Amino acid sequence: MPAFFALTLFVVWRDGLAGDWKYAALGFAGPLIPFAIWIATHPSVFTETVARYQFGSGDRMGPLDRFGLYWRYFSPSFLFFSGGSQLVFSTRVAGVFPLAPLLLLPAGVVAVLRRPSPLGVVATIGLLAAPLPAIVLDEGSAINRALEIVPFGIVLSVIGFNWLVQARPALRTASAATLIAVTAGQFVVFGSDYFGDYRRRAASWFHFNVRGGLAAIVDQTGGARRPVYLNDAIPWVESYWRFHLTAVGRNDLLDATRGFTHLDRAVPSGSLLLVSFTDPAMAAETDAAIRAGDFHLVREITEPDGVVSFVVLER
Amino acid sequence: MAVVLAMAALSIYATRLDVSPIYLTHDEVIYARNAYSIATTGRDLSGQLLPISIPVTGTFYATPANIYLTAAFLKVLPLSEVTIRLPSVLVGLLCVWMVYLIARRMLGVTCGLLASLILLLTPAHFIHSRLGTDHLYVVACVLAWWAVLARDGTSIRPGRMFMASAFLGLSLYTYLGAAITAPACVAITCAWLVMAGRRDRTIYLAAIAGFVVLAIPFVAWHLTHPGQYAQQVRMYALYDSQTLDAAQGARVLAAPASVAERGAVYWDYFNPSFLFFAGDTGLLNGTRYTGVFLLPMLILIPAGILVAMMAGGSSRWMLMMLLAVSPLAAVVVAERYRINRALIMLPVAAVLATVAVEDLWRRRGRPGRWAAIVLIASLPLQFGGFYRDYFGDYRVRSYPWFEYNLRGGMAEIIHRADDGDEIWISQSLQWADYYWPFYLDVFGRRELGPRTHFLDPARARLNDIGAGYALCRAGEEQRFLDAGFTRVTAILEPDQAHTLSVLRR
Repeated sequence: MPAFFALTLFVVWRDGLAGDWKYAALGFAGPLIPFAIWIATHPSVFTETVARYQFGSGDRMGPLDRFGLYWRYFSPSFLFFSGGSQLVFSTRVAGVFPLAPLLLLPAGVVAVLRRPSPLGVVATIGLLAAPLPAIVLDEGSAINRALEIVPFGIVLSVIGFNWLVQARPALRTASAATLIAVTAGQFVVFGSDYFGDYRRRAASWFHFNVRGGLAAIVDQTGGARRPVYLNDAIPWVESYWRFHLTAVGRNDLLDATRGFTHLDRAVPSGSLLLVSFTDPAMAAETDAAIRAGDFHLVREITEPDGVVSFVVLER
Repeated sequence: MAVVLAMAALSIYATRLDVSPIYLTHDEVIYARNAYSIATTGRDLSGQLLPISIPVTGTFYATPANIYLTAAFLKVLPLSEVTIRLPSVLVGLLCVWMVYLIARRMLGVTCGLLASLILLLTPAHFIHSRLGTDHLYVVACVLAWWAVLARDGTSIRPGRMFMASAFLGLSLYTYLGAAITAPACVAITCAWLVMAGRRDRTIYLAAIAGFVVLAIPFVAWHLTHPGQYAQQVRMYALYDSQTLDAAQGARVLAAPASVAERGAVYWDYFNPSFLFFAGDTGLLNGTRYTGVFLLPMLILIPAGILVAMMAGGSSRWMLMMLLAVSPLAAVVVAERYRINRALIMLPVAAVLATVAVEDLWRRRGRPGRWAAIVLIASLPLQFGGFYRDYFGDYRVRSYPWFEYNLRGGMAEIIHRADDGDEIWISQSLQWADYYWPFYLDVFGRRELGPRTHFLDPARARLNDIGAGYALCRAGEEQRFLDAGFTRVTAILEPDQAHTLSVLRR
């Protein structure tokens, strides 16, 4: 944001409105005031955030590697074909953009270089600055940290389209209609995958069907307050549990909830357990416990492809 | 003046070829052995008479150009590490001269000299001009094609066009990657003619025919050796050539995932980190002291691209198209940061940088001129640092990449062995079966060849082998000592690391 604020000042100056900088500064600073007050009254947040992202750590990337990382944010493969590396933020069967900007975006950059317009300059600088937060955090292909690429890329693509059809104005409407149709068609394909096979591919990235497992636990309580044990191997299970209990109005189960690493026959009779079945060791332990009669299998929780990801047990 | 400059360039490039790179790579040894065989018998190591494609090992076939040029050198010079690297020096300096011709035609004599200086001081060009391998030869052919086009311009006549394209056909015999690059350059030629408004069909036919005529023996050879294509596909892991035919393989390569992966590789060849800071990932093709280019090029190349795009014109667009296709060979095999597969980029960048300097000097007033002076003056300064490191610490960093001091170990045995001695070489010494006969020829001790045995020290019954000398890794030495051998000498690296041992029973 400070980079975009500096860009705002640049545009203001370039347009001969240098005296208006104070309005821009006021607009930028206004929302920051409560934030600054809050940080001042909660100083540990800043230090903890710095520590979480390991700023100042010796393990961090060197400047040369970061340069390379920055470069890859403009890779055509990333922007137009495969998207980000994390399936939470990308399906990996489509890029960040549809295919149309593959030619239009570079054309837009060329158009701005040949004849810099204020909008074009802002869009170009905005595009170039978009990956900076991700670079500061040493993250590559993290579109979630560089989403500003999208609006600036679209604006540049439109500038590129205008530039390309300048020589043949008669083709403008037909070209635009074709591009829209092609992009819409590509989006249909993307949407079909997004609501289809992507759900299967991305299941592990979303920690599998933990929602189904927690719902099964609540369902099995039958409205009563029973001891609940949640496998510590399930990432963020406590947060998911709190969310789900609040959503279904069963916060009474919170106090009765404990975590566990290994199945323990000492848990009270009637306890309900949610076990991660994607961990082979845990799965083997669970099978053995069921065969030994220590626990009763209540329900298997499956993924869209039928793979069992969790089991609900009862003591 | 030209002679003085040539001698200066030669003295920079040809000095101490047996010092750095520290040892020979296995590719250099393989090519040199075939070259020596052709020079002395007319046949390669497999017995083929003057072959077009030379079988090396397993699935690997070498292109003939550098082998034949090296054979020509070996006709008049003795076999040595210096001799087998001299052809690359010659080709490297030839490239420098052709860049001068191209830039002189585009921008004038001074800019021609500047472009040749920039290429001369390009670390990747210097490195590859001192390796006895084939990567630089395709650059010479492409520059010859470009030089003809630059000289004649878009009013070129069919005869000259045929000659220009013939150089592209010739490039097929220089480096495997030319099979990708040469057709791309033919396409560039046609696009260049279209942009120039040429409508006469004969010029396009000449552009294609020149390439095709010289490609015919290449294609014919592959048709009579159908297995080679599949083997090379396997070697570069393009697709499973045992279960897929060429058409199916092409579909695999054109699949979205493959295109996406190769698109990423292509983009990474223009990564500033690779080009200006870190260079090649391996220490065979780079020192990692500098990038592919020196630092001032970080400004000059983008500036040159900008100037070329703004100025337009057929010669400027030719530059841009050449830059765009320069990494294609590397992209097809999906290998990142291997500049040896994209060396065409080097002279193109030199001309682009010269375009930038010319623009700074003529059109940007005094600040532009000072900027040009500072940037150009910085080149030899940084090159000096690179040069010092190249002959210094680079040798120490890089010796594992050059198969360790096999030369030292083998020379010890060759000098000591008597007529009756058997020689035992550990199979763990990769490529030793190529290095050994090479050094036997270098030192004129071929008679030791039939008495040489390669063994696995972990499995062989070392107690049962006869008297003689052994060469093994330092870590294997104890097995030989336990079997009654005594150490003759420890073979050390420049950092005094003991990597090999020469033993005797």
